Amino acid sequence: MAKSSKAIRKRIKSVASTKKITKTMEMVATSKLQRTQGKVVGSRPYTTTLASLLAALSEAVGSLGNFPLFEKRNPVRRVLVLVVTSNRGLCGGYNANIVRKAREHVAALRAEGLEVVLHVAGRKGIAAFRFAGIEPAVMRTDLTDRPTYAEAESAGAPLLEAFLKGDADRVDVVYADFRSVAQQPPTALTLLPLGSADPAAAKDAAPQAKEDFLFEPAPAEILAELASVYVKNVLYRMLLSAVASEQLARRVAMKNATDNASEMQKNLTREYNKARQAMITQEIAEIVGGAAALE
Amino acid sequence: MTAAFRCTVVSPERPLFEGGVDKVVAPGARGQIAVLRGHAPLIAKLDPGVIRIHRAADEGGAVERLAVSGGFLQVRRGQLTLLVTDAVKQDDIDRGALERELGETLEALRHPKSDEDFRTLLSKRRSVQAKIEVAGRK
Repeated sequence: MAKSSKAIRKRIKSVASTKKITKTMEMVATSKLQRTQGKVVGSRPYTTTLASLLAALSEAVGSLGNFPLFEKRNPVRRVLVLVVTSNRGLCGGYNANIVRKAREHVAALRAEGLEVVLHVAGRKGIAAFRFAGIEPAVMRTDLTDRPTYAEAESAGAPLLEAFLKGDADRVDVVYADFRSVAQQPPTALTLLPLGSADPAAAKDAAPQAKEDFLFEPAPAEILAELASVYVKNVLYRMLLSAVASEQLARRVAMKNATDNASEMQKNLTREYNKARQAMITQEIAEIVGGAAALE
Repeated sequence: MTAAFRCTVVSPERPLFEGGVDKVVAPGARGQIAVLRGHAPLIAKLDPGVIRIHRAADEGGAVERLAVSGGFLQVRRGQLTLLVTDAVKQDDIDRGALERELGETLEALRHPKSDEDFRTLLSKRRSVQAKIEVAGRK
């Protein structure tokens, strides 16, 4: 009996220390989430202005279809798919959900007879694809959980290059879209050609009164530059959204783990007390029995 | 005495400046652009260089300098908005590192690998020089 109560005490201790760890991770994830959300807010004015510039420019040049980054290719033969996952685990089903979505998306593209070039960012996604026997064409683990614009630029450069060179006729990104704290569905969006999808910017670019702008240099020239900046901005916001979703998923996972640990601690303590009580009762019984034998 | 107008400077990551200004001089792709109150609506591309912001007199009238590696400028409804990338304020500049970077860039410029490389390096040189210029005013 003494041995089992000792074993229980040991388990209580180990559960308590696990709880401490998960609790701390929960708090870290919370603070990282807040920081990322602050960045999302900070990026908004730039995005809005960029969208309004794009609107003014596209009006000035008439049709956007002739600009390299807006050109819708027909037929589309090869699609580059970038999957954004996290480098670290312990965030519940976050990575699994994204990978599942990505594989569905890839399967759908293949079913249409398109060739898919797979780029995967994040250690967890890479591991998942390799485990499934799929070797991504490009793997990168240098996207951190504090995305900077420079990071988005470096992530965007190969995508732009592949698209402009014609190595890919379309670029899709699969990432967790942070819509609200209740919803971060894994989403597949087309990054290039531009204009195919960018709900956030379309929403931000509220209709504005027409103005007769002067352009310096010519609108087409500005547009060429603006388009690539625009792509990077969209990608930057995608990365922010992915990181925010990751931290939120981690916070929820760690909250659950902490709650489970508390529950376990409670049950184990109960069990421990029961064992202790049983031992005392037994000792009393033994003493009483011994005393009775002497009479 | 010039009249003041609103000016905002934003980078992709955060807003950098907002306030009333008398004059803003920016490095346009076709030469310096100075914007005063009442400027016609304008959209322009910026080259690497220094943006000078002359704060309005009632806001202290100080001149702020910002080194940027490119961006866009927009005047709309009397408001000036500058979108800049890789902007550095005077206080955040590490001069030694920049001078090394400039040295490396100049060295690389001597043997550019391709036309495109040459152009990238040229614009990098200008952006580093702009940062050094801003730092030099300390």
